[in-house]
Amino acid sequence: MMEEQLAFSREELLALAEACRISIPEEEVEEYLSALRGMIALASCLREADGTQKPYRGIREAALAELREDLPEESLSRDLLLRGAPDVKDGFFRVPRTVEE
Amino acid sequence: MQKLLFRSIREHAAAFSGGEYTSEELTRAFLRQIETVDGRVGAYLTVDAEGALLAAREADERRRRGESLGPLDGIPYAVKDNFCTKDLRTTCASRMLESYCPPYDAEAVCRLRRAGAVLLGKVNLDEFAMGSSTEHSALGRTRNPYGEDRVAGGSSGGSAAAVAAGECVFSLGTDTGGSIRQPAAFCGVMGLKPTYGAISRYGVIALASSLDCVGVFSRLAEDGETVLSALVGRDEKDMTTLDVPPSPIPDRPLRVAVVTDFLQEGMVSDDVRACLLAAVSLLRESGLAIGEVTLPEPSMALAAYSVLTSAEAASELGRYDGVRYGLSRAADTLERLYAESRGEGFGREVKRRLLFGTYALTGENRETLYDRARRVRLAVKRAMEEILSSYDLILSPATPTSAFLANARRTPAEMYRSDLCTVYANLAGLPSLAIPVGVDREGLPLALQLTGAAFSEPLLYRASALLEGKHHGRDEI
Amino acid sequence: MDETRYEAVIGLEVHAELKTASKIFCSCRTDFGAPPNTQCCPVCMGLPGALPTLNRRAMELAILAGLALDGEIAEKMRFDRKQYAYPDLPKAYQISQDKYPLCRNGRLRIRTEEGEREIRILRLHVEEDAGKLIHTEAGTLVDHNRSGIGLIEIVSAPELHTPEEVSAYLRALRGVLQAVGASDCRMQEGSMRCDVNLSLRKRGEDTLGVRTEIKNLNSFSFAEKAVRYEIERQTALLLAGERIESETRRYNEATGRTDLMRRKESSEDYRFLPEVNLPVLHLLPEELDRLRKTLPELPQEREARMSKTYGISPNDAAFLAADPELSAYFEAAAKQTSYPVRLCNLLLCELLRHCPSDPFSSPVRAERFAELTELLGEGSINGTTAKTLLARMLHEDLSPRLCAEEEGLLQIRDPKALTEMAEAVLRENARAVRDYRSGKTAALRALQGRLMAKSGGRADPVLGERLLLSLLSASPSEE
Repeated sequence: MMEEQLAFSREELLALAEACRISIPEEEVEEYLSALRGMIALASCLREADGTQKPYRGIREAALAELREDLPEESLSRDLLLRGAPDVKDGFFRVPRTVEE
Repeated sequence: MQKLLFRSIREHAAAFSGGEYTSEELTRAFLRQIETVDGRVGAYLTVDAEGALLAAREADERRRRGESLGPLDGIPYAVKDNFCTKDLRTTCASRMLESYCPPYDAEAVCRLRRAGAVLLGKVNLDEFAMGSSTEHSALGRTRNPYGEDRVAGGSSGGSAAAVAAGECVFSLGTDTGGSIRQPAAFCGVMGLKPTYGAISRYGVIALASSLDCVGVFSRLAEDGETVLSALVGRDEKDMTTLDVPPSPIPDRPLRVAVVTDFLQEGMVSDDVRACLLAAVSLLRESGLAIGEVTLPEPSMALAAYSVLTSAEAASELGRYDGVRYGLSRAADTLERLYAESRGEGFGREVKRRLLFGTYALTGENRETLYDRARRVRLAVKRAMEEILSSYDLILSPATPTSAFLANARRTPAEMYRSDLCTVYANLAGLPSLAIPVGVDREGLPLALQLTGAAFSEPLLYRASALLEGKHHGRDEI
Repeated sequence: MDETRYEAVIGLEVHAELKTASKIFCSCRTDFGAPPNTQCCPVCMGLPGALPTLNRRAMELAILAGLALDGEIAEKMRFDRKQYAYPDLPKAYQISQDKYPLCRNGRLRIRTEEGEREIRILRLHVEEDAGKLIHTEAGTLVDHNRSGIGLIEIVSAPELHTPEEVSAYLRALRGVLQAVGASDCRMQEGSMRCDVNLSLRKRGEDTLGVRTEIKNLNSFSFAEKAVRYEIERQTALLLAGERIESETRRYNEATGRTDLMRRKESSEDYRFLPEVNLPVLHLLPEELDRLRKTLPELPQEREARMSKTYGISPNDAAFLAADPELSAYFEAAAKQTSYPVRLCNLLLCELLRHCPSDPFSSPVRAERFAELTELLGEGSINGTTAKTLLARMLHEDLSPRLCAEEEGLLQIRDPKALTEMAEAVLRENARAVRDYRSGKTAALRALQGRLMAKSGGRADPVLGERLLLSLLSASPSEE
């Protein structure tokens, strides 16, 4: 357990933050590092769990007949859809220009 | 006036019919109560007085015309602020959604409206339902009506406190790992987490979809049953809902399993332990068959719970990115817009869980943590079902202690014991009811918990009378 | 240095939009070309609290596609969340199928000049489309009308080797998907898109080289050109002793080249997890049987039948059969003529040039086209007249037979009249006659041309040639 706690490094935390798209101020790094180490330590017993038993797959299965019929319905009005967006242009959401594509 | 606010749904309905008072008058009484006490309690984030009075007048009008919608018509209630309400601010107690107005209503809210219930407003929670004290709300603190220095519990702290403080007749909350039962226990009210799939989650802002349940806070079992019956049943918009008739109540002495883990030294407070033991002898005297069981694989179960909720939450909360709604911080690149908006919009507890959830899904952890957690979950579910094949009910404490102090630094061990009381029902998808049974030496509520087989909610409510009535009367402030 | 010592190894990932009226996880419309962000709701916009519901028709269409590709259909289907953050993905995850695709181990027969081959289909799975991004100087604009439209992704084994095979594969796949009604496959509307994975290896070797991926090709011809360019580019690099980098590229329509989009770092981690808001779909055997029974004639079957019924070449039959509209048109016309082979030639060589192809539609009604074929087949008109008539039929709905009769365009097949004309031609072209007789047989061409001109383009060319030859071989005594 101790090994695993120590094994979780500052670099890993920063990589996780990037994957989560969350900025973490430098002064909070230690706090998150210690919190994450604690959570990882508590969860690490799972690594010893039986990996061959069946996994939980939800409470129900559905047959084809239970699925939704392909009938279109009214969509939301665009005004309603865009009203909370910070940057809108000509009915589009707008974001800073993406590099790819 | 005080008494009026603490009447049962049935009593209110009778008063409406008898012309004693109208729904509008009742609603005004609750709005006044909110005005009077909520400064101290802090249950409400948004009060919709106008909407409530309008709905109340409509209920009165229907009743005049003899078109009453049933027992809930005109009854004022509150919902946790993670239920979407059309054009009414829905915040999840997060900076991220502080000024977010959904364009639609949650299905549970729709069903209550169709039953005529009057929505008073939206109540506080831990941000995105992550927490167990409602201290992780970014928008305000909720205090325990039994003691202002005590927490109301969480994450549905506002829902519990509002019912306890007479600020609504009943309320809705959500329970992912105890978020209804623990605050209900702390505030001395009934809190039901129903069977997974019994009530639609459509429009309820997810924490962890495979565990989240919509549930009911009420002062009385009969009120809870009335509300529940308006909510249950298949919803085409939530494919995990089921239409299952509630299981019939057995026509023989009930068999109750006591979870002995909690009788061990140091697991629960002396008062809780005494409560549990008293309940056991009470039940035995009432002619019930009592047996003993232990919790299957506690450390594994709690680890699985922690990994599953965090991983699902990390996935659910990926959508809050400052582009389409919610808090947004302008930036010159997309990556910075995302990171700054999320960095500022989410509180620390949320960030910790998102980071951990992402960790549990990244690289080989997906196999050794997340996937194992799913396997453990199924094993736990089967173990619980196995217990319930020999017993009708599982009896345990709802919390290991009464409400803890605000700003308390809880140790991991304390949190562990608290979760141990509640998460099994979520992992197994079973209904579970927190029942107020008395108060401790400091006058703080104590509660026990009954867990039953899927769709046995009527049994839970019925059986609660065995424990509730003989211990302590209902609580008033 | 021989560049043919390298062989390309190509696998395709094709995305086709399912032809449903509503989106796969919500009831918004799927109409193409609606104003931006007008076909969206809480579900496809990923608004807080919204939950997906699964469209039955979408699943049926995907199952039909899987059956038509001769694949194994999974008995239980589960959806997963594929997590990545991009502004075209409102939930920051795409609902897709990871471990348990709807279908595995299918196959698709393709035909090129080289002959016929069977390409294995590794998997076919269902997922939701993402929104559309428009990049402007003032930022990237996002339209979510497409977000949540059902897609199938069809992944081939890396068994294609040439640009022609890539094109043939796409054509064959489109034929199958259109035949079962799973997708419109309108590439210019983006309802069918293709990603190409391509690497080179020395001929005769088994190991695969480093591959590049070319994203989002939206026409057969771009796919073919992009593959051709990419093979050249990689070949040049290898011949120069350089290494191929693992990267994602895009085809530039203006330059005809592929450009670097991004280097592939260690493979992307999508942090898949099950979509717990959707139940596992349990496909009952009777449901599968019911769907199997609704399978229409597939291109492969249609091809065999048409080749046999109409006597057309396997290549032509394959070409027609791959397109349901085109083959329906052909068959409608073929029923009304005794000359299906001529019909096929006239259709593929002449009419097709004037028809929109995506989808195929003809400006000439099938019975009119059959009438024209009939005139040609029975010898009432010759090929030149047929072309003239067809050019007019593109613009007006006229009967070619009436028109030919009224305007005197019918072929002259009367031996007497033709003989007179042929004799006149020989008289007027003494020099060509002398050339021919002195062994320059090419002079016959010129004489044939004169005869055709003299007849106003109406001479039966076969009869004319025979008469010319017999006159030429007769004794030149009279001169």
